[in-house]
Amino acid sequence: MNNVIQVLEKMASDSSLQNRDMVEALLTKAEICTEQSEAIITRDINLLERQLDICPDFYCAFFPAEDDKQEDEDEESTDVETKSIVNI
Amino acid sequence: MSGSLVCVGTGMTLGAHISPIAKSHIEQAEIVFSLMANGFSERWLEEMNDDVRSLQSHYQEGKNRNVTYNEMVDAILTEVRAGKKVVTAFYGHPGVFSCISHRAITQAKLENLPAMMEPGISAEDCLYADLGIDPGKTGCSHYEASQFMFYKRNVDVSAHLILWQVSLAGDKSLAKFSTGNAYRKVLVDLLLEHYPSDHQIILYQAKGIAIDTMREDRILLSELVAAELFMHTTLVIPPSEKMQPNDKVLTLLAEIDKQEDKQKNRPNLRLVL
Repeated sequence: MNNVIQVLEKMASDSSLQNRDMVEALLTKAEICTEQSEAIITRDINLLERQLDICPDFYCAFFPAEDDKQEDEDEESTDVETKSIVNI
Repeated sequence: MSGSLVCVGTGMTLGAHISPIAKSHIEQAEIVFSLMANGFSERWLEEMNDDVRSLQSHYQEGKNRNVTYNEMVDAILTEVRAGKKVVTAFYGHPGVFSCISHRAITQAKLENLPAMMEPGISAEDCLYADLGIDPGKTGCSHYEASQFMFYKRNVDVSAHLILWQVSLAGDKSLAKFSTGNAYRKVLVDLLLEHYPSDHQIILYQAKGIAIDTMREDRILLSELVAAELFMHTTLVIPPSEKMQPNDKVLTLLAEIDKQEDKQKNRPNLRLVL
């Protein structure tokens, strides 16, 4: 196991790794630096993001699928504000 | 050779939820477009395939999200039309509260390009497990929070009400990354038409990675205006009243039961000639 992502994947998918002792044992074998191990043990996501140079600003806004009838109505409409609402 | 599109879900927690078929689609794709909820999951996809292209860059505060989503669909379909085997990986379930996958698949099919969806474990699935809610017990309604506000709804206070994307409640522009307290107060006032102000509600967030913790903050409805909300915070409103029996329907059903019993208990008659 040679990186943090693989460690996170292993932790999430191996039922024997659901307690701290087992995670610490895994980390001693993993080829990751001490700071990264620390961040995982202390569950410090911000520190781990900095360690991996991962952008913390991710957008996950969604937008429900619109129905066809509303879509047709939108095409006929010239009102920009209304269009943005009924497209939801 | 014809291009193809498969929209897959990777689940909510990195590594814990992805299905074998979704993983295989990602590994075997020529191009993977990704829409993940965090940077760790994006890196994870990059380990599965050499050509992963994040769609995150299309998001921009002040830009109508409808435009953003159409741009994403265009980016995906351009490669499918060019004959590539394309996979688009979404966090959670690719078809739940996600217009991009539905639009892309519909358009691809209109152009006679093969397109399909593979489900994933959604935030809704995690919510039931994490909060111990069985939607079959009292029933459960789900709405996107702004849509719930924009349209008249028949709120059933004897069932769970779940409002998604509550941090953006009331955003008509589709261009904001969060709405302020004034918008949220409108939502709270709307909910107060149905629930008491001291009704306990839950702010929920699923786990994104193994070291993350699930959020289960129980607050009063009146405290919602000032609560800390993120883009992925979900509002769960438990029932405030017991289910009321529908006596009219129950009477009709009892009559049918009675008739069926009568027929069952009827003596067997034989025709004697």
